[in-house]
Amino acid sequence: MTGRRVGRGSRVAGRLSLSLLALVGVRLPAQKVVVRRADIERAGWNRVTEILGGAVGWASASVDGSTLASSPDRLPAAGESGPSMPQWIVIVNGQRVPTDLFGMQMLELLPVSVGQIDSVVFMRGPTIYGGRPVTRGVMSIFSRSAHPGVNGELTYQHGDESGDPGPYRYTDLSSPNVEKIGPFAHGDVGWRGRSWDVDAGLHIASLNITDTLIASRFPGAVFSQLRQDVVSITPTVRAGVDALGGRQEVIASRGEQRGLLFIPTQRAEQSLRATESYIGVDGSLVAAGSTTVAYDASTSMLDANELDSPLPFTVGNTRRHVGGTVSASRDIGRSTLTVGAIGDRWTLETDAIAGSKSSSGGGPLVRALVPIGVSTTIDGNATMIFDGSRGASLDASVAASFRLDPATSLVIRGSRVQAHPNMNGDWIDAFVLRYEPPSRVPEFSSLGVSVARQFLPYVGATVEVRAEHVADWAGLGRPSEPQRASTPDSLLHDGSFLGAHVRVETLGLSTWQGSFEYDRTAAFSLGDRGFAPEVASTPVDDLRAQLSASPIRDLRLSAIAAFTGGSRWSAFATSAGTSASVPPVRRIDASMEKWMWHGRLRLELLYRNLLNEPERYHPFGAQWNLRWHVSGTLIL
Amino acid sequence: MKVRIVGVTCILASLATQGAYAQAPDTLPFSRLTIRAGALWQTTDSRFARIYSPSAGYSAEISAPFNVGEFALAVERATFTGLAPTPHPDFHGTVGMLKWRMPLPKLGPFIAAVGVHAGAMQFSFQDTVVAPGLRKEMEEVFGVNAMAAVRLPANFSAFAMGEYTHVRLHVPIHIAPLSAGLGYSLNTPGWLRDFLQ
Repeated sequence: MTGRRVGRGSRVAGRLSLSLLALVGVRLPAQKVVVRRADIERAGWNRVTEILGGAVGWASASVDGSTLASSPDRLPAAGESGPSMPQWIVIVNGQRVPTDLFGMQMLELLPVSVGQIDSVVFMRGPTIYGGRPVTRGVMSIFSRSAHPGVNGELTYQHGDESGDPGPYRYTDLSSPNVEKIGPFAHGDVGWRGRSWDVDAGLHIASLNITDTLIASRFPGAVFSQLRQDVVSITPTVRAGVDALGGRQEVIASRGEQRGLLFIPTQRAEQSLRATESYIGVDGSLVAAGSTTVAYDASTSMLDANELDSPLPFTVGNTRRHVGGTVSASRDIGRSTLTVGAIGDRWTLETDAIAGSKSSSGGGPLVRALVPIGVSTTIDGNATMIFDGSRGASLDASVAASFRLDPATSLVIRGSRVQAHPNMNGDWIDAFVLRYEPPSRVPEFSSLGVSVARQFLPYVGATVEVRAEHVADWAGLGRPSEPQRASTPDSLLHDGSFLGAHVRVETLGLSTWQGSFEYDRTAAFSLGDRGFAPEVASTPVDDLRAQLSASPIRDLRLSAIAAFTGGSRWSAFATSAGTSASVPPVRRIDASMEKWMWHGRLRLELLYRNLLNEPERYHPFGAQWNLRWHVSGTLIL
Repeated sequence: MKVRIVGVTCILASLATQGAYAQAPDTLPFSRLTIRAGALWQTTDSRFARIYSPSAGYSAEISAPFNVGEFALAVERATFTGLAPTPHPDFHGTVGMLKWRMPLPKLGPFIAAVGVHAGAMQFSFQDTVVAPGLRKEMEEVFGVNAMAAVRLPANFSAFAMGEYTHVRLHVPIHIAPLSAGLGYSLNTPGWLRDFLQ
């Protein structure tokens, strides 16, 4: 909705987008975090991976900044959990795109680049999303619609980290060289007609991995033979048409990422070339009068191959996914009833087995949306999943929304969802890494209450309190412990968590825009002593605040503060009985954006970590100093 | 120091907001360009001065009025020579900066302005021993600056400029450049003004 899509520039359009979505946000339960186009621009995010920075409460861990793992619910981070544990999922325009590789999310291989994104909605906890049972969370990406005719956008960003040795390299005060950051670039060009549109894009990212804390884990002679950066290149194609009473869309991409990939379970990197080919369709049509049929289907292939290096390579595999949903909705009085079906199939090929190994799962789904009176709506979802040979299980969620007065709404929601390793392919990582999965699968239950209220015409606030219980979550055990010598079921844990989330934000088109968001999730009942050290790998507190001003036309100044609690990682300790720690992050960023050429060109100067405080996101990870980025965006 | 940085940032943002609507009509945004070029002399902090000595260099900038104050793109370049008794390899120091200045009240033909700047300094080492990829480094800089100028006939002006720049190396360097030279002002071509707006 911003940039090329509307006349005078994305600053003004960004405000519109911010305002409209903020108003919508008042009606959303706080379980959802919405990152808008304007948030992306002022934060200077030019990789999809970076947008996770806006998901307050999602504990993201990354060794090199290129690829990350994230725990949206305070369950132990990747590397502290068993490799067969379920992950959150990514949805692009309603299509599920597999991105998980050994617990790391390969978001740069997604069939969408930052320039094509209108907004990203993060949902936490167990839920049913579009009929699909989701155990931990959803990152749902919505692309923006282009203006009629030819349209396009090209962005280039480059950055550098402070703390180089400079001329002191020749003295006793010498220090290691630090990183260049980028380039990050993305572009797309398309055409939009009266009822159809087509778009082709490309996004590229390169990030050095030469930080001392990474390099020091390798013998010098080995590290010098490794690729010194992680680079990803992903071309994408998207086409849509308004037909049959709805919109039909097809998305395709083939992304590639080369370089070191940290395998959390192994606590070490392997040098690999990961490629993902994806094609998917989604849409809706009107049939038999007032019945709306919605569908999505996709197929993907995620391939991990060796990239020449002296490091051992043990994780080569090809995993294929085919899946989709179909549903029919019909209005019955004021209510809407939806019935349908969902199914997924996974196939794994790896050197360890002859032929392939596959699994599948699926089942019927039903949803009822029932208004009661003028101020209450009940939204109930249930899905019966037949997960391979494990038999059937029922997942359900219900939300009751109450409009208390014109400015206040209350939502009470509850859900119970079980993991479905055959349907979701959770077993694949464990199989490739040679871990035996436990006999029981995790089960998630949650209860939440949220209140949203608009104060004055310019301020909206949302407060949520939630409780979540997980049963049979698998830990990883000690790194030196041979997994096959221990019973996988002995590593299962139960735990309960209590959390609160507060968001206050400005609404409308005032000169000053801002938001404040705080999340705290504490474990209050962990079933056994072995669970607590693993849970400590995710921080309790997360805070993000931003303030931006457009004091004059076509100029926006922004400041962003991010404070995240520290964490302790028992599985990454160098000696038994201790923990590796990640210090709290206290970071302030500032950016200046200037639109020129009547909104066709946007230049941005961005400083990150202005306080130059220690900034790390993994015990084995790089430490980031103050850094600057310059970017330019050309909009057609 | 950190508190001061945040405080100064807030004050500048506040000033920018307040001043946005109080602009003289003869200084409309991007209405005029001023090109300045001059000679450059630098002094450095005492720790750095023990191992390197900057030679005279040159500076150039192009500035234009903005809604509040004026913006300038500037470049400075000088050679830094390693000092005896163990001279390290010389390097060229090239600084690229974005400057923002707030003019002070005019006094006849005299103009003065103070402001802040940020940018990057590239170190190009004349070192044939290390790998070519390590012969250049780039580092962030920021600081404050002040300029005094006097109008001369035919759109020319003479200026003197002083800066204090912090280079954020692992061991920081502080540089105080002083430059002096001539400037020339012209109306911004319509196409360029259209582009900048």
